[in-house]
Amino acid sequence: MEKKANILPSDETILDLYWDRDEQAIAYSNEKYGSYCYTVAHNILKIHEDSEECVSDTWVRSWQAIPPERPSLLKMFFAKITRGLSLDRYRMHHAIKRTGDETALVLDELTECVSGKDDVESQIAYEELVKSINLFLSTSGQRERVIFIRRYFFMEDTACIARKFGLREANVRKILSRTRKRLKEYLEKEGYSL
Amino acid sequence: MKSEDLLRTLNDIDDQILLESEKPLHRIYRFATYKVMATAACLAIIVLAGLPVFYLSDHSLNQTAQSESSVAYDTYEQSEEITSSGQMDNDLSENTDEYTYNSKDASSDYNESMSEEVSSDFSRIDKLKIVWIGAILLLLCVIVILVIH
Repeated sequence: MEKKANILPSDETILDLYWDRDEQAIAYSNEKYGSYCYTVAHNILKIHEDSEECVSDTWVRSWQAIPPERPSLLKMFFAKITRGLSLDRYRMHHAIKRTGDETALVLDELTECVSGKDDVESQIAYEELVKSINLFLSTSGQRERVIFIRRYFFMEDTACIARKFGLREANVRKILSRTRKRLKEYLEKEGYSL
Repeated sequence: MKSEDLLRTLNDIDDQILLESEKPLHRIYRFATYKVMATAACLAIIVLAGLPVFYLSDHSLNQTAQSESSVAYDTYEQSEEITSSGQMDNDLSENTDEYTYNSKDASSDYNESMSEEVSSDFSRIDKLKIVWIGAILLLLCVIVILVIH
Protein backbone atom coordinates (compact mmCIF):
# COMPACT_ATOMS: atom_id res chain seq x y z
CA MET A 1 0.00 0.00 0.00
CA GLU A 2 1.35 3.38 -0.89
CA LYS A 3 1.94 5.42 2.21
CA LYS A 4 1.00 9.05 1.91
CA ALA A 5 4.28 10.67 2.77
CA ASN A 6 4.25 13.92 4.67
CA ILE A 7 6.87 15.42 2.41
CA LEU A 8 6.78 19.17 2.31
CA PRO A 9 7.27 20.89 -1.02
CA SER A 10 10.52 22.61 -1.83
CA ASP A 11 10.96 26.35 -1.38
CA GLU A 12 10.81 26.76 -5.15
CA THR A 13 7.40 25.05 -5.27
CA ILE A 14 6.10 27.18 -2.42
CA LEU A 15 7.33 30.30 -4.20
CA ASP A 16 5.64 29.18 -7.41
CA LEU A 17 2.39 28.78 -5.46
CA TYR A 18 2.76 32.32 -4.10
CA TRP A 19 3.34 33.57 -7.63
CA ASP A 20 0.29 31.64 -8.87
CA ARG A 21 -1.70 33.24 -6.02
CA ASP A 22 -2.51 29.80 -4.65
CA GLU A 23 -3.44 29.97 -0.96
CA GLN A 24 -1.95 26.55 -0.44
CA ALA A 25 1.36 28.45 -0.33
CA ILE A 26 0.45 29.85 3.09
CA ALA A 27 -0.53 26.41 4.39
CA TYR A 28 2.77 24.94 3.24
CA SER A 29 4.74 27.89 4.60
CA ASN A 30 3.09 27.49 7.97
CA GLU A 31 3.69 23.76 7.96
CA LYS A 32 7.32 24.08 6.95
CA TYR A 33 8.45 27.24 8.74
CA GLY A 34 5.67 27.92 11.27
CA SER A 35 7.50 26.61 14.31
CA TYR A 36 10.74 28.29 13.20
CA CYS A 37 9.03 31.65 12.86
CA TYR A 38 7.30 31.10 16.18
CA THR A 39 10.69 30.64 17.87
CA VAL A 40 11.97 33.86 16.27
CA ALA A 41 8.91 35.75 17.51
CA HIS A 42 8.93 34.15 20.95
CA ASN A 43 12.61 35.00 21.51
CA ILE A 44 11.61 38.66 21.22
CA LEU A 45 8.14 38.77 22.72
CA LYS A 46 8.15 35.90 25.23
CA ILE A 47 4.36 35.77 25.04
CA HIS A 48 2.72 32.80 23.35
CA GLU A 49 -0.35 34.58 21.93
CA ASP A 50 1.64 37.51 20.61
CA SER A 51 4.17 35.18 19.01
CA GLU A 52 1.41 33.21 17.28
CA GLU A 53 -0.17 36.39 15.99
CA CYS A 54 3.18 37.51 14.63
CA VAL A 55 3.55 34.23 12.76
CA SER A 56 0.07 34.63 11.24
CA ASP A 57 0.92 38.20 10.26
CA THR A 58 4.11 36.88 8.64
CA TRP A 59 2.08 34.85 6.14
CA VAL A 60 -0.14 37.84 5.35
CA ARG A 61 2.92 40.04 4.82
CA SER A 62 4.55 37.35 2.65
CA TRP A 63 1.38 37.02 0.57
CA GLN A 64 1.55 40.77 -0.07
CA ALA A 65 5.28 40.77 -0.81
CA ILE A 66 5.46 37.74 -3.15
CA PRO A 67 5.13 38.66 -6.00
CA PRO A 68 6.88 40.93 -6.97
CA GLU A 69 9.59 39.61 -4.65
CA ARG A 70 11.13 36.20 -5.16
CA PRO A 71 13.45 35.59 -2.21
CA SER A 72 16.40 33.29 -2.74
CA LEU A 73 16.24 32.00 0.83
CA LEU A 74 12.63 31.63 1.87
CA LYS A 75 13.42 30.67 5.45
CA MET A 76 15.44 33.84 6.03
CA PHE A 77 12.82 35.90 4.26
CA PHE A 78 10.15 34.67 6.70
CA ALA A 79 12.53 35.08 9.65
CA LYS A 80 13.16 38.73 8.76
CA ILE A 81 9.44 39.47 8.41
CA THR A 82 8.63 37.74 11.71
CA ARG A 83 11.47 39.56 13.45
CA GLY A 84 10.37 42.94 12.09
CA LEU A 85 6.75 42.35 13.14
CA SER A 86 7.83 41.10 16.56
CA LEU A 87 10.03 44.15 17.15
CA ASP A 88 7.12 46.42 16.17
CA ARG A 89 4.88 44.63 18.60
CA TYR A 90 7.52 44.71 21.30
CA ARG A 91 7.98 48.46 20.80
CA MET A 92 4.22 48.93 21.02
CA HIS A 93 3.98 47.00 24.29
CA HIS A 94 7.08 48.44 25.87
CA ALA A 95 6.80 52.04 24.74
CA ILE A 96 6.48 53.33 28.27
CA LYS A 97 9.17 51.40 30.09
CA ARG A 98 11.46 48.50 29.57
CA THR A 99 10.62 45.46 31.57
CA GLY A 100 14.06 43.91 31.97
CA ASP A 101 13.41 40.95 29.67
CA GLU A 102 15.84 39.50 27.12
CA THR A 103 14.97 41.98 24.35
CA ALA A 104 15.44 44.90 26.75
CA LEU A 105 18.82 43.46 27.69
CA VAL A 106 19.77 43.18 24.02
CA LEU A 107 18.75 46.80 23.48
CA ASP A 108 20.77 47.88 26.49
CA GLU A 109 23.81 46.05 25.18
CA LEU A 110 23.48 47.69 21.78
CA THR A 111 23.42 51.19 23.28
CA GLU A 112 27.20 50.66 23.63
CA CYS A 113 27.44 50.90 19.85
CA VAL A 114 25.21 53.96 19.34
CA SER A 115 24.75 57.45 20.76
CA GLY A 116 21.10 57.00 21.68
CA LYS A 117 20.15 60.30 20.04
CA ASP A 118 17.16 60.62 17.73
CA ASP A 119 18.03 61.44 14.16
CA VAL A 120 16.28 61.21 10.83
CA GLU A 121 18.38 59.18 8.45
CA SER A 122 17.84 59.02 4.75
CA GLN A 123 17.21 55.73 3.01
CA ILE A 124 20.60 55.96 1.27
CA ALA A 125 22.41 56.38 4.60
CA TYR A 126 20.45 53.44 6.00
CA GLU A 127 21.45 51.22 3.09
CA GLU A 128 25.07 52.29 3.48
CA LEU A 129 24.90 51.40 7.16
CA VAL A 130 23.47 47.97 6.35
CA LYS A 131 26.31 47.46 3.84
CA SER A 132 28.89 48.46 6.43
CA ILE A 133 27.45 46.10 9.03
CA ASN A 134 27.39 43.28 6.48
CA LEU A 135 31.01 43.97 5.65
CA PHE A 136 31.96 44.12 9.30
CA LEU A 137 30.29 40.78 9.97
CA SER A 138 31.71 39.08 6.91
CA THR A 139 35.23 40.11 7.91
CA SER A 140 34.76 38.97 11.51
CA GLY A 141 35.68 35.49 12.64
CA GLN A 142 33.06 32.81 12.05
CA ARG A 143 32.48 32.08 15.72
CA GLU A 144 32.19 35.78 16.64
CA ARG A 145 29.86 36.37 13.70
CA VAL A 146 27.56 33.46 14.52
CA ILE A 147 27.41 34.37 18.21
CA PHE A 148 26.65 38.00 17.30
CA ILE A 149 23.82 36.96 14.96
CA ARG A 150 22.38 34.46 17.44
CA ARG A 151 22.31 37.19 20.06
CA TYR A 152 21.28 40.31 18.16
CA PHE A 153 19.24 38.90 15.31
CA PHE A 154 17.60 35.87 16.91
CA MET A 155 17.72 37.38 20.44
CA GLU A 156 18.85 34.17 22.05
CA ASP A 157 20.02 34.44 25.63
CA THR A 158 23.71 34.03 26.35
CA ALA A 159 23.19 30.84 28.36
CA CYS A 160 21.49 29.20 25.36
CA ILE A 161 24.30 30.28 22.99
CA ALA A 162 26.92 29.05 25.46
CA ARG A 163 25.19 25.67 25.67
CA LYS A 164 24.99 25.34 21.89
CA PHE A 165 28.64 26.29 21.49
CA GLY A 166 29.93 24.27 24.40
CA LEU A 167 31.37 27.45 25.94
CA ARG A 168 30.99 29.10 29.32
CA GLU A 169 28.42 31.87 29.50
CA ALA A 170 31.07 34.33 30.68
CA ASN A 171 33.09 33.48 27.59
CA VAL A 172 30.12 34.19 25.30
CA ARG A 173 29.54 37.54 27.06
CA LYS A 174 33.20 38.40 26.61
CA ILE A 175 33.06 37.55 22.87
CA LEU A 176 29.91 39.66 22.46
CA SER A 177 31.40 42.58 24.34
CA ARG A 178 34.54 42.46 22.21
CA THR A 179 32.47 42.30 19.00
CA ARG A 180 30.31 45.27 20.07
CA LYS A 181 33.42 47.30 20.83
CA ARG A 182 34.90 46.39 17.44
CA LEU A 183 31.60 47.26 15.71
CA LYS A 184 31.53 50.68 17.35
CA GLU A 185 35.13 51.37 16.35
CA TYR A 186 34.47 50.12 12.83
CA LEU A 187 31.37 52.25 12.32
CA GLU A 188 33.15 55.35 13.69
CA LYS A 189 36.03 54.67 11.33
CA GLU A 190 33.54 54.40 8.47
CA GLY A 191 32.33 57.91 9.35
CA TYR A 192 29.05 57.16 11.10
CA SER A 193 28.28 59.59 13.86
CA LEU A 194 26.34 57.12 15.92
CA MET B 1 20.90 56.56 16.46
CA LYS B 2 19.11 54.50 19.07
CA SER B 3 19.77 50.87 19.92
CA GLU B 4 16.31 50.02 18.54
CA ASP B 5 17.35 51.44 15.19
CA LEU B 6 20.51 49.38 15.15
CA LEU B 7 18.49 46.33 16.05
CA ARG B 8 16.18 47.07 13.14
CA THR B 9 19.13 47.61 10.80
CA LEU B 10 20.18 44.04 11.54
CA ASN B 11 16.92 42.93 9.89
CA ASP B 12 18.46 43.71 6.52
CA ILE B 13 21.57 41.69 7.10
CA ASP B 14 22.85 39.43 4.33
CA ASP B 15 20.88 36.19 4.05
CA GLN B 16 24.03 34.10 3.72
CA ILE B 17 25.31 35.37 7.08
CA LEU B 18 21.99 34.47 8.66
CA LEU B 19 21.98 31.08 7.01
CA GLU B 20 25.46 30.36 8.30
CA SER B 21 24.31 31.06 11.85
CA GLU B 22 21.55 28.49 11.36
CA LYS B 23 24.09 25.69 11.21
CA PRO B 24 24.50 23.83 14.49
CA LEU B 25 26.98 25.85 16.51
CA HIS B 26 28.83 22.87 17.92
CA ARG B 27 29.51 21.78 14.33
CA ILE B 28 31.13 25.13 13.55
CA TYR B 29 33.15 24.90 16.73
CA ARG B 30 34.07 21.31 15.97
CA PHE B 31 35.10 22.30 12.44
CA ALA B 32 37.45 24.92 13.91
CA THR B 33 38.99 22.23 16.13
CA TYR B 34 39.30 19.83 13.19
CA LYS B 35 40.91 22.60 11.16
CA VAL B 36 43.62 23.07 13.76
CA MET B 37 44.13 19.30 14.10
CA ALA B 38 44.27 18.77 10.32
CA THR B 39 46.78 21.57 9.94
CA ALA B 40 48.97 20.13 12.68
CA ALA B 41 48.77 16.66 11.10
CA CYS B 42 49.67 18.04 7.67
CA LEU B 43 52.64 19.94 9.07
CA ALA B 44 53.83 16.78 10.84
CA ILE B 45 53.53 14.81 7.57
CA ILE B 46 55.42 17.55 5.74
CA VAL B 47 58.28 17.31 8.22
CA LEU B 48 58.30 13.50 8.41
CA ALA B 49 57.92 12.93 4.68
CA GLY B 50 60.06 15.90 3.76
CA LEU B 51 63.23 14.76 5.51
CA PRO B 52 63.60 11.39 3.71
CA VAL B 53 62.52 12.97 0.43
CA PHE B 54 65.21 15.61 0.59
CA TYR B 55 67.80 13.13 1.90
CA LEU B 56 67.05 10.55 -0.78
CA SER B 57 66.81 13.05 -3.61
CA ASP B 58 70.18 14.49 -2.53
CA HIS B 59 71.65 10.99 -2.21
CA SER B 60 70.38 9.85 -5.60
CA LEU B 61 71.73 13.04 -7.17
CA ASN B 62 75.15 12.25 -5.72
CA GLN B 63 74.87 8.71 -7.03
CA THR B 64 73.97 9.94 -10.50
CA ALA B 65 76.96 12.29 -10.44
CA GLN B 66 79.23 9.44 -9.31
CA SER B 67 77.94 7.04 -11.98
CA GLU B 68 78.37 9.75 -14.63
CA SER B 69 82.00 10.34 -13.59
CA SER B 70 82.71 6.56 -13.59
CA VAL B 71 81.25 6.31 -17.11
CA ALA B 72 83.57 9.11 -18.21
CA TYR B 73 86.53 7.34 -16.63
CA ASP B 74 85.61 4.03 -18.36
CA THR B 75 85.43 5.81 -21.73
CA TYR B 76 88.91 7.26 -21.13
CA GLU B 77 90.26 3.79 -20.24
CA GLN B 78 88.70 2.27 -23.35
CA SER B 79 90.30 4.91 -25.60
CA GLU B 80 93.68 4.13 -24.07
CA GLU B 81 93.10 0.44 -24.71
CA ILE B 82 92.24 1.16 -28.36
CA THR B 83 95.52 3.07 -28.94
CA SER B 84 97.56 0.23 -27.51
CA SER B 85 95.58 -2.41 -29.47
CA GLY B 86 98.25 -2.56 -32.25
CA GLN B 87 100.75 -3.86 -29.78
CA MET B 88 98.16 -6.18 -28.34
CA ASP B 89 97.60 -7.77 -31.80
CA ASN B 90 101.25 -8.80 -31.90
CA ASP B 91 101.09 -10.35 -28.47
CA LEU B 92 97.76 -12.05 -29.18
CA SER B 93 99.09 -15.16 -30.89
CA GLU B 94 101.53 -15.73 -28.06
CA ASN B 95 98.91 -15.47 -25.39
CA THR B 96 96.13 -17.59 -26.87
CA ASP B 97 96.11 -20.06 -23.99
CA GLU B 98 96.24 -17.29 -21.45
CA TYR B 99 93.38 -15.54 -23.25
CA THR B 100 91.18 -18.67 -23.17
CA TYR B 101 91.85 -18.97 -19.48
CA ASN B 102 91.24 -15.26 -18.85
CA SER B 103 88.03 -15.20 -20.89
CA LYS B 104 86.41 -17.44 -18.26
CA ASP B 105 87.43 -15.01 -15.54
CA ALA B 106 86.24 -12.08 -17.60
CA SER B 107 82.83 -13.60 -18.21
CA SER B 108 82.31 -14.30 -14.50
CA ASP B 109 83.45 -10.75 -13.68
CA TYR B 110 81.04 -9.45 -16.29
CA ASN B 111 78.15 -11.43 -14.78
CA GLU B 112 78.95 -10.14 -11.30
CA SER B 113 79.22 -6.55 -12.41
CA MET B 114 75.96 -6.85 -14.36
CA SER B 115 74.05 -8.21 -11.35
CA GLU B 116 75.48 -5.41 -9.19
CA GLU B 117 74.42 -2.86 -11.77
CA VAL B 118 70.90 -4.36 -11.98
CA SER B 119 70.48 -4.36 -8.18
CA SER B 120 71.79 -0.77 -7.94
CA ASP B 121 69.35 0.18 -10.73
CA PHE B 122 66.50 -1.36 -8.76
CA SER B 123 67.46 0.45 -5.57
CA ARG B 124 67.73 3.66 -7.58
CA ILE B 125 64.22 3.08 -8.98
CA ASP B 126 62.92 2.36 -5.44
CA LYS B 127 64.49 5.54 -4.11
CA LEU B 128 63.08 7.47 -7.02
CA LYS B 129 59.65 6.04 -6.24
CA ILE B 130 59.96 7.05 -2.58
CA VAL B 131 61.02 10.53 -3.60
CA TRP B 132 58.04 10.85 -5.93
CA ILE B 133 55.54 9.47 -3.39
CA GLY B 134 56.97 11.77 -0.73
CA ALA B 135 56.83 14.76 -3.05
CA ILE B 136 53.19 14.00 -3.94
CA LEU B 137 52.38 13.59 -0.23
CA LEU B 138 53.98 16.96 0.51
CA LEU B 139 52.04 18.59 -2.29
CA LEU B 140 48.77 17.04 -1.04
CA CYS B 141 49.43 18.28 2.48
CA VAL B 142 50.10 21.79 1.23
CA ILE B 143 46.87 21.67 -0.81
CA VAL B 144 44.89 20.40 2.22
CA ILE B 145 46.26 23.24 4.37
CA LEU B 146 45.42 25.81 1.70
CA VAL B 147 41.89 24.41 1.25
CA ILE B 148 40.97 24.36 4.95
CA HIS B 149 42.24 27.85 5.51
